[in-house]
Amino acid sequence: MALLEVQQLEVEFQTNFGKVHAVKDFTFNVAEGDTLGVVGESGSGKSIASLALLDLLPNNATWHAQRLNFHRVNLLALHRNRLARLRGAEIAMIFQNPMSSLDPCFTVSAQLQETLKVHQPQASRAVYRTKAIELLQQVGIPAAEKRLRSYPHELSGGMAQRVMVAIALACQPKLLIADEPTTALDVTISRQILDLLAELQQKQAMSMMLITHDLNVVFEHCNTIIVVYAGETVESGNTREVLLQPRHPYTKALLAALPEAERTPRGTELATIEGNVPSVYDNISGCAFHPRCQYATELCRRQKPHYDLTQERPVKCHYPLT
Amino acid sequence: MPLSADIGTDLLEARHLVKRYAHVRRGKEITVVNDVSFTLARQRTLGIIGESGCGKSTLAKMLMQIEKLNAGELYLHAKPYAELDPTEFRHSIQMIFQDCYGSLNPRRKAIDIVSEPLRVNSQLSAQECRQRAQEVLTQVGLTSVYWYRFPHMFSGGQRQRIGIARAIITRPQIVICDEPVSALDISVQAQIINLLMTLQKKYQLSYILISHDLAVVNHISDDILVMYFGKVVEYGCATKIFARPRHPYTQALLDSTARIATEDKPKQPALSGELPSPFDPPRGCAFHTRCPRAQQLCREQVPALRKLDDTQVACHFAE
Repeated sequence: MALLEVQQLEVEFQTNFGKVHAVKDFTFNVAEGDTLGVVGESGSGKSIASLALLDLLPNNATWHAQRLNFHRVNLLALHRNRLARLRGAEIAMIFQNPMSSLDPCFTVSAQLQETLKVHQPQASRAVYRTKAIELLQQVGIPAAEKRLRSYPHELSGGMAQRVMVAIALACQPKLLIADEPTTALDVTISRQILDLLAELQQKQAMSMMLITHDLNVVFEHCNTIIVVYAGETVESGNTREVLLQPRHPYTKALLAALPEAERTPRGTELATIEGNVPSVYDNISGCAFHPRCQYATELCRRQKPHYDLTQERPVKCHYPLT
Repeated sequence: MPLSADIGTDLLEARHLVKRYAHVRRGKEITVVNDVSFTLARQRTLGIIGESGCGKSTLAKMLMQIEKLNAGELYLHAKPYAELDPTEFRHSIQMIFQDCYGSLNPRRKAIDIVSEPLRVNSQLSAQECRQRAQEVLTQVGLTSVYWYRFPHMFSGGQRQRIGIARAIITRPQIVICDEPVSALDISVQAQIINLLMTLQKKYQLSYILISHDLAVVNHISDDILVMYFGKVVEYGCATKIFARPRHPYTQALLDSTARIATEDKPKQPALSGELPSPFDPPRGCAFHTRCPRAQQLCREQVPALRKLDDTQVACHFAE
């Protein structure tokens, strides 16, 4: 059963240089209790798409979708105020840099309790406090009671990200969107945070969307994956299948560019993808990947490939690899 | 141009480097780099890995003479740093910085940024400096249309190319790369790694590569130096260390790194805890607070760096 269904999500920005189509066609489902990895390079629209789901886009953005269902509720028909109540309570988000997402002027306690107060306005101060301590303990912060009085600058990067996780989980959301949650952290700390997320996810039967550019992390932590390129979903499916047997030339090229001890011996030249990621100002005819694709034909230049979500391994390509 | 017979001889040698900073308010001194020694040979790459706060970047700054040493000696071509002529020094050793957004002056054009090291460190005329800048920019893959652009007009990968051009324009023998690809996307990262390898072959460059991405380090390094809490915990040949890490910290780093693998491997438990506070360094081995193998001896005695099959390891129980 899909908890979140997104079909043909589009986001446009009105800028001084004209209209920018940042997200062109995002189509995916997040199943209940599942972890979805969203993989793409910078500028592919993955962060913007997740902000659109929470209606957190800046004022110059407009977005629409064919279908946007969360927990069988149509978010498109929902009034702004109802959506605001969902945000934080049912769908929560963790951002990339914990140091800049926490407010430097307030203590950990104040920032944790803010979320609780907004969504459970009736409770007493003692309840908020107990809950805040519980949350910090849950994310593995030692001496939680003492930590409540800390300001963000007194925390290490890993601790700050744990606090962010605690805030996000304050209302036991059904869906957690984690946007590059470990990119700013060291490998050992990153692993701790990812393991923590997996553990909490199981305990609370929560679904998760992990947005990242790190294919290795997705391989180890996500059951399903979508690969995005230039604002479009190009491939999706079971993570192992997609990453071990990619069907889209872009996925295959990305994997080939990774240094990997067994496949690319030390010092050998790495495979690269010709050209650059298209700018959001570019308007590419046909398949968005055709200018960089080694298999591109006339058909790819002319006609946009169809993305059929009813297939088991959907792929947006005229000539999927086998 | 150096002779190829030079390959393998020591170019840079660091002996027992120490860096301390005074924390005025707390009235304490903290040791950031503690007794680090290594050698770097011609056309070889030394990879330095460790968590943030372990002293990697401070070490790089000491090698560049941006930070003064509190103790220890540095030799370039077997000559102590103090005896080197400053201009000659800058010609021999250059650096590529981590943040390709912050390390380029936004008010200067690419060609001026790249030619600046020559203008400062050589007697060449402005005309000649520009000519050399054009040559190196072409070499790193930036054609003439890009020469007169400002940094904000470039993508991340292109900026990193400018940083590389600036580092190689003085024809150095050693280039220190501080996280050269960590800010880049996968496909661009591969391009930059390839460029670094091509330049190394062409100019017989020696690299010191600081990175937290073990796959990248493994791909281009000949030797590896693993640092923890300011100290060397393991140092030796990359092939050997990656095949069989001896220090529990190196093992933990390798285990923590996610990998796409066809075979199912048992998942190792994550390393618990974080780096200890430098104001309150642990007794004995600095890693004992997080080490799964720690015993009483580790809490009491600092392990010395010792040799085990050509690899230097600082652990009581490395066997």
